[in-house]
Amino acid sequence: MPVGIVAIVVVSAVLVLFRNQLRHSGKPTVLPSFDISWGRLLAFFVVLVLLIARQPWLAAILCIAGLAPGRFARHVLVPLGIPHVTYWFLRSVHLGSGKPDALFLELCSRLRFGRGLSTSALTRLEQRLEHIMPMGYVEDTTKHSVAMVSRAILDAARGQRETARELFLVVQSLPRRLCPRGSRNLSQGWLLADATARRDFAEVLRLCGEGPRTLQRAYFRTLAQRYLGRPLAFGDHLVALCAPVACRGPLAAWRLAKLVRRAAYKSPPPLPSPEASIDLVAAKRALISAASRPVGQVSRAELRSVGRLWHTLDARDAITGGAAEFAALSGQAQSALFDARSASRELLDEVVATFEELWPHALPDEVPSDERCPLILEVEDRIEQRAMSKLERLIAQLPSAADREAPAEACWRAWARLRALSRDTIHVLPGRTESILGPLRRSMINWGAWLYNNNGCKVLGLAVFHWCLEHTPKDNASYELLENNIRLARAAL
Amino acid sequence: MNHERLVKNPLLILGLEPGSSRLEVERVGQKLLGLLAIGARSAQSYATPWGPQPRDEHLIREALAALKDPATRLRAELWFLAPGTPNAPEMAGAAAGDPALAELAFRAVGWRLPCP
Repeated sequence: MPVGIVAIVVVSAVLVLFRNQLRHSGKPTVLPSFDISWGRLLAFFVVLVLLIARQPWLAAILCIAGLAPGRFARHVLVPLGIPHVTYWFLRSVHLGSGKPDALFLELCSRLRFGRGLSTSALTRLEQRLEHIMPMGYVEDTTKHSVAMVSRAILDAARGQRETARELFLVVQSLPRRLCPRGSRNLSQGWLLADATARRDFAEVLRLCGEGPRTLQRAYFRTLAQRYLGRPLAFGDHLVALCAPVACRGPLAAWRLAKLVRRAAYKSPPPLPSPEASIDLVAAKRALISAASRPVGQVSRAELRSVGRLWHTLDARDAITGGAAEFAALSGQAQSALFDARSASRELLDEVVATFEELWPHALPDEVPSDERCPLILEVEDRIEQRAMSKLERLIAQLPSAADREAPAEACWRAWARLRALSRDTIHVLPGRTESILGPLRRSMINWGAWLYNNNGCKVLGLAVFHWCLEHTPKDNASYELLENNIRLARAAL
Repeated sequence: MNHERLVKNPLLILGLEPGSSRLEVERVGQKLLGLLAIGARSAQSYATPWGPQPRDEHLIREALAALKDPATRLRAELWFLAPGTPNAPEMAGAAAGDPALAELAFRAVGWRLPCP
């Protein structure tokens, strides 16, 4: 045993000195492949020494650690959840480099039991991350995505959920060759948990259609379907039984399923049809009933019913009649008709504004609806207008050649914000994708090309092209351009 | 959904029914201000479907002003829910932040500390 420990200490000292010499000689700190082989050769030498010194168990552990340090860290060190161990192990094995992977796995390790996530500890980890950015790892493109997922984890640990959500959405959608599976799975896990915590099961179902195919995703889909009272297929029942075992927290996954079943969505009683005799009181109760339910407990179909009620009342001039009564009660009897008309318009505006708040979070239709309620159309128009002005503002604020410094992190964050808003808008207004993205497509493609050609953010540029291609009709002129860009970028990366 | 407009409804604050006349509004408002001035406990809270809520002079004066304006009066009538309404909708505070659900969801995916 003492011989083994002495051997490890000596070898580690040699490794560190060797690394420092490389740094002082001005050689780049990227990790060429021969460094990994060199490290493995040294590990093999240490194992041999230990076997000669009759330490077979230590030799076996070092053999695995030396030959497959990433797997050893992921499957042994991370589950132990001891702060600092994972980071320094990987830095040592990679001769002082390999910071992005080391930082990412160190964060995973700290998340395991919640240790080492105090404000000061997070600040130190952020400082380490800042040394990685801007990234010069042009040869190894996965480092970009690993650094960004570490940034997202730090944001989430600090409670900045919006920015974390935007970054996780980008990372989970990156192609396999640009982003390790562990990063994508972790991003997906956080997104699903975040949507579940907000009881936004419509978002959970949407997330289950994106990102990597995992058992955890299938499990959350069954939870969302149970919550919404939708029937489960035979395969879904199997997933519900087996998937918790595949989750990182199986016991928590089982308890979550029970809690979700208890909080399940219950369909409210049907609303009166417009043909029945309705009045302002009934319409008012229907609106309050729809508006007061928590997120994920009102559907678009219900909102359309309520919208039809209000539209019918407006068409019958019933709102103006009601407003006239209230105006009289308020002592405005002389100009009751004029006040009533403007007051009824204001009331209808208030109703439309309420729908604007509710529509984005309502459960989508299981079958697309062709119904065209004028009030809902007005709501959709307003949502589209607001979204377009935000999107145009974000496009104008994208870092560009005009900025003296366009650090990689700023570009990633800007794209994450733009992508998240576009995604949310398309979800709310699925029939208007082309009218929303069409005017912005050329700017996005040009920005992607600038990122790829001039700013060294090849991975991000490719991610932009992928997103644009996914939302471009095949008969559009930009489709072929995007396919060519992606083909060229893939060949180079 | 902004639950303030349900809880802080001017009609609820003054303890009135929809359709109350202007004279009734004025009379009740002045009575409540007088009771508050002498420190009467009955005037310090008002009934809602979600239990009693605190009431002060500022709130009463705001409610009186709102009910004198036809447009805000109409909104108050729209968002009025009487105390004792059966199956009153959940308030945002009770529904939206379910810490047990959040903690279990994050633990299930391997995050020990749910994000605040």
